[in-house]
Amino acid sequence: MALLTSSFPKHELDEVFPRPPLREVAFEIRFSPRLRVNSELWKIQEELINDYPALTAEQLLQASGTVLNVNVFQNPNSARAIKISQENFVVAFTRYTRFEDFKEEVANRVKGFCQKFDVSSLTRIGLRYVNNIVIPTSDDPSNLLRYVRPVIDFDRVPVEALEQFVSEVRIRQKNHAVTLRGALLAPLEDGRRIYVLDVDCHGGPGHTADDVLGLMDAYHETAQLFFLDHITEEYKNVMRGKA
Amino acid sequence: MFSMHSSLRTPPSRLLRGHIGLLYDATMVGGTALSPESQATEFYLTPFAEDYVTVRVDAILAYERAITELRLQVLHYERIIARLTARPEIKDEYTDVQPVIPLNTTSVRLINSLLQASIPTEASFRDFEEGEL
Repeated sequence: MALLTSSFPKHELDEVFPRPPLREVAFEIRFSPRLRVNSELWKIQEELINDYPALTAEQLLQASGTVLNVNVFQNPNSARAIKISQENFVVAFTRYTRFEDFKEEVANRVKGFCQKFDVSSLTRIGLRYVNNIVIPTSDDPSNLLRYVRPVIDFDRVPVEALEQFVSEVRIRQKNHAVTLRGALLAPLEDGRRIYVLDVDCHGGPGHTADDVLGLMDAYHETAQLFFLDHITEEYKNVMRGKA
Repeated sequence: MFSMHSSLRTPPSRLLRGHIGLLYDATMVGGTALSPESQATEFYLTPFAEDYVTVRVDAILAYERAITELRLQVLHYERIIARLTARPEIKDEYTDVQPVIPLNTTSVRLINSLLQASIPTEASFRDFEEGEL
């Protein structure tokens, strides 16, 4: 099975599905640690408080053994969150309408943050889409293949014997990379299965805050290609509400 | 990455529920950060999930390093507290009673005979020749 050997016609790329499986979209910039972020966080809070009134904190244990404190500003009603630490800034939506809406919010917030804390050089930029594709209840595990095309060679792994799996690949594109994850989760109570399709487009160091908008468009296009390549025509009808 | 996603986690009970959290955390390091865990993983509550987890070795090492560091700090502060709260000991020779071990009767007789022995003033020690013994 070849991955992305064919390009998609424009009308397929432009199609907006009424019932997409998208569970979450997140955009992140990373930069060299800025200690002033934590001490002057109130400055950015003044701008966020109306749209993101809830404030919590997270602690992330990093591979180096250190703990990173992350401040989380949330709007539970609109299902949006902004996460800020001394080395990253994240905008995440768990209720996604259109890419243009998400992009506008990211552009405004990232610009405001970078100006306020004088962040010019970025070490990483990432755009990530997480999809939950619900596979109908069935005794036949190969039902999965009606909707998705996992990056697994089913000549070697019989699909009839499948219970669960996780796959993860990192693929180099022209100017960035894509981390593609697929996972068939354990059954839900009612017997339905969830297949998670996680597409993370990201670029390394050398970018500035001014590159954000252009890179978002490029990453979005790549994510779209990988998504369309991963699903079947039958699942497109599900997303259209026709099945 | 035992971290995306990821927080200081994770009591064993949550491992049953947060499949997607495990997916994000237990695979490649460095993925784009997602929304807070409370938003993301509640959806994946599944009572039938099996506790089958693949965890990266470097994630385990990171946790062990953190635990060791915390333990060292606990010891350090315990020592400081012990030093600050300990009462100085005042030695009192009159309250310390040293145990006395009595001599047996044979030893007492020997010592008494030595003390009571009279040695003539002209007596002097001289070396013995082998033939004299």
